Amino acid sequence: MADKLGAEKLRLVANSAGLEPEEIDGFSRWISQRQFETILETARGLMQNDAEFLHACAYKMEEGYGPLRWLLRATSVPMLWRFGAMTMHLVSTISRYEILGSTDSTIQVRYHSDRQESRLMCLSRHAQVLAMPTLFGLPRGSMTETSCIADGDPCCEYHIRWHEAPRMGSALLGGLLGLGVGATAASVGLGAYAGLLSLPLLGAAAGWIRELRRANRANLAMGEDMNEGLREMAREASDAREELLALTQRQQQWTDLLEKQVGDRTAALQNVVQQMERLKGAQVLSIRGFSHDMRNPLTVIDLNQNLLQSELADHESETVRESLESMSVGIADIRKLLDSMMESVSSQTRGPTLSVQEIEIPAFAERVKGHLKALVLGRDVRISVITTREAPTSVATDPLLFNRVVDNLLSNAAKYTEQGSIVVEIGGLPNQLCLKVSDTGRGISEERFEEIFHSKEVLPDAQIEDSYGVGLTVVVRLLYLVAGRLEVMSHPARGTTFWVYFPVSPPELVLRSHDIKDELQPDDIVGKVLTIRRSVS
Amino acid sequence: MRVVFGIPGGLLHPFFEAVERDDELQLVVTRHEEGAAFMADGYARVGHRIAVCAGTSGPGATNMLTGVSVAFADGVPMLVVTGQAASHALGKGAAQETPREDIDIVAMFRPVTKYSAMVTSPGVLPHHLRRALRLALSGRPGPVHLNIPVDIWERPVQEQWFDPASYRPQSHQFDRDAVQAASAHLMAARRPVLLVGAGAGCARAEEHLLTVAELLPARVASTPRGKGLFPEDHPLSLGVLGVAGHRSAKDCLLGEDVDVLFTIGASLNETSTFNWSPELCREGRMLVQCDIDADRIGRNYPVDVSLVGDAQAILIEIIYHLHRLFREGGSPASTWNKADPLPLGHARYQNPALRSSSQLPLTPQRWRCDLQEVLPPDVLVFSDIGGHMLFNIHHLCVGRRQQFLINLGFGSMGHGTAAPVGAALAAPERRVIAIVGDACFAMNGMELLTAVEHDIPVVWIVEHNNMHGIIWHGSRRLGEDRAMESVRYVKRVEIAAMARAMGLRAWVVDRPGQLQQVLLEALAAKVPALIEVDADPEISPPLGERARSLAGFIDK
Repeated sequence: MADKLGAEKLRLVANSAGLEPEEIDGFSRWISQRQFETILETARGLMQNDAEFLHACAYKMEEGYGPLRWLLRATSVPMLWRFGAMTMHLVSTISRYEILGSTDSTIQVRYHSDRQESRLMCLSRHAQVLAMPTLFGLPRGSMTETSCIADGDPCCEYHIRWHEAPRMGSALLGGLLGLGVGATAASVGLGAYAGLLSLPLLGAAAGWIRELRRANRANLAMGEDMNEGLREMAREASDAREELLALTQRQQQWTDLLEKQVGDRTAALQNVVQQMERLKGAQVLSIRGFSHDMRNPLTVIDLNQNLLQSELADHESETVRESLESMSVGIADIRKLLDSMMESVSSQTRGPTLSVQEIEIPAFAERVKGHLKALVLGRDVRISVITTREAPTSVATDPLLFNRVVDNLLSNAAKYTEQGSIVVEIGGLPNQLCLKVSDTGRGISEERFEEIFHSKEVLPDAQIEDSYGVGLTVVVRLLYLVAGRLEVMSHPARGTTFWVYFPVSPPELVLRSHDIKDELQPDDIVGKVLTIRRSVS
Repeated sequence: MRVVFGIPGGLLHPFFEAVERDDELQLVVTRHEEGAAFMADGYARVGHRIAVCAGTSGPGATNMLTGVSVAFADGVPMLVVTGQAASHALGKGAAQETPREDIDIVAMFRPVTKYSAMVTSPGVLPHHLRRALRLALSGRPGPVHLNIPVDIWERPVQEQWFDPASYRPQSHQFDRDAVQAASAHLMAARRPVLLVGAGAGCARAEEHLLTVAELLPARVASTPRGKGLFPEDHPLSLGVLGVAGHRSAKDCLLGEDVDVLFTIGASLNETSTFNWSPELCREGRMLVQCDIDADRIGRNYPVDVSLVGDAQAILIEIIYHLHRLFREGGSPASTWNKADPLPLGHARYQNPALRSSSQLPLTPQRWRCDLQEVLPPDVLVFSDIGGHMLFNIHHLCVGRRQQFLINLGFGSMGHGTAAPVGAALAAPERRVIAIVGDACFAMNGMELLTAVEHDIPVVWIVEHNNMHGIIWHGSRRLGEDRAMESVRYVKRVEIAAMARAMGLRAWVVDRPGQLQQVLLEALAAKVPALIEVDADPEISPPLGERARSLAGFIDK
């Protein structure tokens, strides 16, 4: 089309299918069947008639094969068909050829496709299959079509024929010449039989020599073409290698950038989570404080109201007695309101109902490694995540709760470790997963731990001055829900090690989640869930 | 322990009968007792737990000797149970009897097991069993053998049950001072290199190795048996050192740069040391050797720091020491980060052109490259012994979660054909591929029937060159081009056709680019399958080091 109508028309055809000309020219990408149909429709519209269109479909077909066509010449048309059928999957993911049978100059094939195809598509295929003999220097073939997908048949079936005779043309010509000369010689009395037999053979031999000379010339030309083709392939391979190298470098740069962005985003998200935790803690505290503050004056009002009610029980005024009764109801309503507010706060603290799922430890170890890597990105902190053979292969627990505990410990380890190292060891005891998180962060004194957990009011961590910021109260409460334990050993300015124990299977998980409100008091935390190990100075 | 491999027989009948009745045990009846031992070996290697194989008295027992020797050489825990004539008839000429004063089966097993004993009365059975299991699982693991007269099974045992933990001690102890010293040497090393042997795999220390290597950083080579324990596509990987190994590993370890060599679970035997090359431990190089067996420390080279103990426990301790040193302000002296990067891709291998060649017959290198493209990420690849093994060691690249298994300690042909069946039973969630030669298939190929019988989805890839390739090519090198023609078969067997007749799905691959699709189809089928690969027999496997090594023996 470019040769006949110019490169602009080719662009028009490509663009009609949403492609650039290079994309349909360079074996660089797959196109959809719909795009292919569009290309053919546009091309047909631009060509004057069917003959022109079909001519274009197989135009300079042999050049499309490059140096390969010289190799193909060593084969035959049926072999090329078989090769094409075998390699069809390289050029089409939706269709295939089935060869039913062949002779030296005929073949019967079926074309199958997963999609409905247009007649135009079939015609373009006809043009190409008929042109295949031209790769061998033979004239185009002819075909009989017995079924067609475009007509609703399950497949297209072709009987294709071509002529091998021209390859023997020179020999035949020589033979005929010899026959002529022999006949002439016989007619002039030079021996009828000798002339008739020998001269045609000589003529045929001369013709065959002529054919061999032609073939030799063709071979030389083929050799030159192949060399050029190979040189071109080498150049392309070299270009491709360089391009690949550049792509690899770019990929590495992208990976670095991505890791950095993931790290930044993780840190930002962690920050948001902590802010929300603090806000939530502050909200809980405000509501509890408000409730507490309201109950005191309410009690005073209630006592006075009771006093008035007893003093004025026999008051003659109906209005006074009704007002007192109304006050009593109002006070009861305010108590109910405070109770429901506290219930709401408690249920928020308790969290949603727990659901048990299996957590695979190898995948969990990978996640921890990735998470920690992102958290310490850009800092001089070395991390190691190791799994011991004692670790269980999986634990059954609530994944949200599990991740919240682990993420809390990891993010705090990362947050307070400016330099040094963090080691996470995933190990186990019989029926328990043991997670050891050891960092070189700022550490926290034993007294501070006591202060946190023995405090009568469960303060949000943000309110503890110079807190380690672990959200430890949340962690131990969550661990209590799954019958887990936490051990800690810390030394200010040197670092902290946490040991978290999760049971491999959850005992009475749901029951625990409902009883937490009344069961776990601050005084109970140390001992029931938390163990503070003595640090060795 | 859920599977028992073996072939029932009269003198062990009560045992097999009990196994068959037990719902928690699976009895896998093999086609030959050697196959039973090989399968138990594969089961234990992959499952990291003890395996059981059993054979009746006489030939049933002796047939297992080769398989048990493989397990002994490679440190694989295995309980071998053999039958015996009734105790009151021993020595009187009972059928298939193997008593002490005649064909002494207990003595036969003694050199190839950690414990071999005959149970002479029901009262001592628990004692023998506990002792056998303790020895099989402690220290360097290995096979143990109990020979039990047939009448013992029917008599009651008066013994209370022992919790396994109460008589099988953990053997994870090590010298803490030595580990601390080793950590300091690694931290101070300018060019540290780790050499990983199969012992690291037994200890399941792959992730810990990776951690140590990345912390320092240290470059890592593996012995042929340790291939793949450190991911070979990692930038720090030097590849395999020794037989069929890689030039990058050889140049680095025999070169002058390395100042600290840390071997983990590598006994530094012939196949990984270039016939015990003195350059591997040259003047000025520090050798730190870690092995669970004290007898293997310093066996072939003088050691500066010896670490006797479990590789995983020691590596974890080293990781903690390295972190302690970081916390104290130290930083590793390694300069590998500034060194030229190691070659990756085809450049790492010998004859790279043959890896991408489209020539016919198909090159052994090319089909392995094709295979590499579609290997599942958690695949278990078994290699048998022979010429194909050398190609496997050199031309396969084993990634992080993949595993490469080979019985190079004893080097028994046929192991890589039968053992994958046991491995697939131990790890049903993983895909198992066995790459074997046609000679190995001819030796133990009947065990594929066992896989068919039990629907065990192993894919065997048989590289068919119609000869004992390593012998033929090796003899050509050693014999100045006078190859031993007797090992080149004249008649060709259609292996895929045999496999189909045995009930496997089977394909023949003889062209480049074919294997990928076929293997994917075979894996997706999840049934026993076989792919026969017709490879060019004229291409020599990378046996340079092995041939030189043999030549060295001959010269000596």
